[in-house]
Amino acid sequence: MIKINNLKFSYVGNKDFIEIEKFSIDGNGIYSVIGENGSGKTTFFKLICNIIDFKTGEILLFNKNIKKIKDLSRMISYIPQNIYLHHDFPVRDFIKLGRYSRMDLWGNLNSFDEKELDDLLDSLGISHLKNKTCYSLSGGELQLVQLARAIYQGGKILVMDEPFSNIDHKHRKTIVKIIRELKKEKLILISTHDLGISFNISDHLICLKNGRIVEMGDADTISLKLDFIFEAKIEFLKIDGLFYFKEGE
Amino acid sequence: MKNKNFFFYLLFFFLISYFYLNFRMTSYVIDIRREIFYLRFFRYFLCIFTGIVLTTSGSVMQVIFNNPLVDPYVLGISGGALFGFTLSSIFFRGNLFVSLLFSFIFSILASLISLSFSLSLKGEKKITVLLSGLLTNILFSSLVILLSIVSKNNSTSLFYSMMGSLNYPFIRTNLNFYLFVGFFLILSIFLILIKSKELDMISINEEIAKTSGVDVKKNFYILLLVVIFQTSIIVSFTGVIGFVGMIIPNIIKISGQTKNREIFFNSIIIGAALVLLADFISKYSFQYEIPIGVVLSLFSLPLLFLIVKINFENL
Amino acid sequence: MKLKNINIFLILFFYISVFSQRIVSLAPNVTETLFYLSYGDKIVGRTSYCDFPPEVKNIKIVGSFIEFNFEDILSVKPDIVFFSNNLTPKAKTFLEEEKIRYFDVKMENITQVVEGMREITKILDKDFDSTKIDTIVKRIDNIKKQNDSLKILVEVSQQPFIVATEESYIGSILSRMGFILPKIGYNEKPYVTFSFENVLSFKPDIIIFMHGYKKSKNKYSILPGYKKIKFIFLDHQQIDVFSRPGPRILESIDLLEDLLL
Repeated sequence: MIKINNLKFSYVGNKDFIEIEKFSIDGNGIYSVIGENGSGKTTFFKLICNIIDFKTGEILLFNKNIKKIKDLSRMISYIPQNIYLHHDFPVRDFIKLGRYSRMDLWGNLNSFDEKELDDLLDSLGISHLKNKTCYSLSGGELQLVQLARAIYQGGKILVMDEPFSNIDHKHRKTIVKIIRELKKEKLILISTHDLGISFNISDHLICLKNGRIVEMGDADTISLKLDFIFEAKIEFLKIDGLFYFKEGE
Repeated sequence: MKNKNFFFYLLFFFLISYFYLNFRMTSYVIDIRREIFYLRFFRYFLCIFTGIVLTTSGSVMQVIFNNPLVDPYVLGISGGALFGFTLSSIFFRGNLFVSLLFSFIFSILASLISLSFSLSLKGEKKITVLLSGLLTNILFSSLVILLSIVSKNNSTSLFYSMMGSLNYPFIRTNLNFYLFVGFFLILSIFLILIKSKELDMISINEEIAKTSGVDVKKNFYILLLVVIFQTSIIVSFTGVIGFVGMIIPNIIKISGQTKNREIFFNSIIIGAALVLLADFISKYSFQYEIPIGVVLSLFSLPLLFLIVKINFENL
Repeated sequence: MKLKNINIFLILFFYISVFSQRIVSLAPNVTETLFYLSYGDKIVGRTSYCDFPPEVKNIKIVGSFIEFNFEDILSVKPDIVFFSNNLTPKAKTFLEEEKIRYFDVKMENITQVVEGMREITKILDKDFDSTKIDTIVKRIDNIKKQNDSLKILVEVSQQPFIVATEESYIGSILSRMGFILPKIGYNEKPYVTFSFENVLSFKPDIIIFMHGYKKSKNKYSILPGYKKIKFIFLDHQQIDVFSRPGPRILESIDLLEDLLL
């Protein structure tokens, strides 16, 4: 579904920051991007979502050049790293904005879409939030609302930048549950620093280092090369198919 | 709760409208009441349009620049428009159409200067935009002063056009032209209203807006052009009136409105009512008229201080 | 340009003599002139600066010197509106729209004062007996002269530094009295901005201050003949008289003769 050929990107005045010669993923599932801070995870996501523009190379979604796709919003939805809004906004209206491309002149949706929204909120278990405003929510609740907006937007690809940072354990579990449910019908790209989560939920892991993809594969393959990727000793245990990473001494 | 507020504003507006149109009317002799009413009615509409345009363009700019402290005046757009207007009134003897055209062209020029200034400055965007606006304002206001000194014809009314005055002589034969201009103003306000969902998305988060299908850049330029258009028209009728466009949307936001459509509807009503009130004060508080900009600046100074304080704490 | 306009209007309205005219005067000197020529009872509107003669107090204020309240002007139903060098484009448009006759009477130096008065009488009443104007003309002709060709500087304001030239009201009287006034540029304006270098090259013998700021005398102390210079400070009322070219020209001539001769 996603193909990248000879992609090169740099921020103004810097050297090439992202350099990907060939990259291709296909099929539903959860794809985790791991790497150190500054390895280019967020930039990589922004390139795929066409948020930032690039000069050389091409990105193909469903074999179409990303720059030529008119309704990209119906193929891919994005949750930024910083989920906090610049302005307060009612929760329900915020989720509604996911279907911007289907709105009429006055910003209204048809009754079918409205009903779908309420159903979605029910199924995610956040219908009690819909009359609140975004600033009154906790970080975990807000992440759920963002997720709801992204799901409501639709599309086969869901890109989530650091969905688990600053979120308590309870909400983490809820989000993981929702993502696991979603992966049956979507390609989900996640970046995270939490190796435990990424190794346990992902079908595929993509390792970024200095803007280059150094390794790709399933959890077992990658787990053997971790020390090389992070240039540090990383210890972990594998019990009953679950990874447990050792943190701290 | 929100509807209640809106109806309160509406009531306030109608009350002021009533007073504005009827004040001292009975003290005039009957046979001239009609003449005076025409005069007042025209000025009343000018007030309303001024209020609407200033506040909507202010709130649009605050969204597209992601900066609660900007409005067409702060960015120097009004200054450019005034320069264009002064230039045309010297060289074309105040032909209405030419003056509108000139003020439009020069306000585009002013916004280009202001934008390129702010883009070339490194640092906190919220502040560089204000600084470049300040520079543009200095440039154009000194050009206006220079022009009126050189031409010496206009120097008396310069003061009033720089501080804003709604004392605009209404010419009956130009009625169609006024209606034409008014129609375009209404059209541009309508355009802003239907752009409110895009503005919502841009104001929330530009990245989300982009991935949801909003062309942020295109909308930025379209809306900026609409704002410049509106502002240049109003400036060539009333002169430069500052800060209203900055203060009213902020007050509405503080009072709890967050959706742009609601902000627009509220600020249209409050803006019109406030400009009417200020014009009323400027007309009747002394034996002669004082510039409306003076009235508005004096009354809005505490609010301005408050808004700047709040926004710099969040910076 | 303005004078041309007036001529056109004069031709148009010369033969129309209306006896119960309602006049709005939008300049203090015109108001004084109208009262001097005994048209005072016809004035129905004035500016906030019109404060002489005292009878004006009962007349409605319809504006300041540069900004006029159009509603108020309409409400007094004027037939004629007088300006004196302060006709703004706005006011012009308004009056043309309302079809009210207006005249911008230029009254700056003494010749223009007399001409302006004649113009006003022509506009208002062609059969006017001109004895009152003749008194002024006679007084102007009999101005006492001094023959020393002294140089005189009239400081109108200190910051910005503005002085009066021969074209100004006070300057025109002084030059009739034989004094020499500073001259700048080709096209003479009544009041010009001056620099201190100009003062040094001009070397005034007498300096008149048309403002209340007494300390501004100190800056002349570096002039070579500072001790010999005669400084004259005008009081508030005298300043008023000298800044309004009108019928009080009689008073101003008397005053200047007293002060200088």
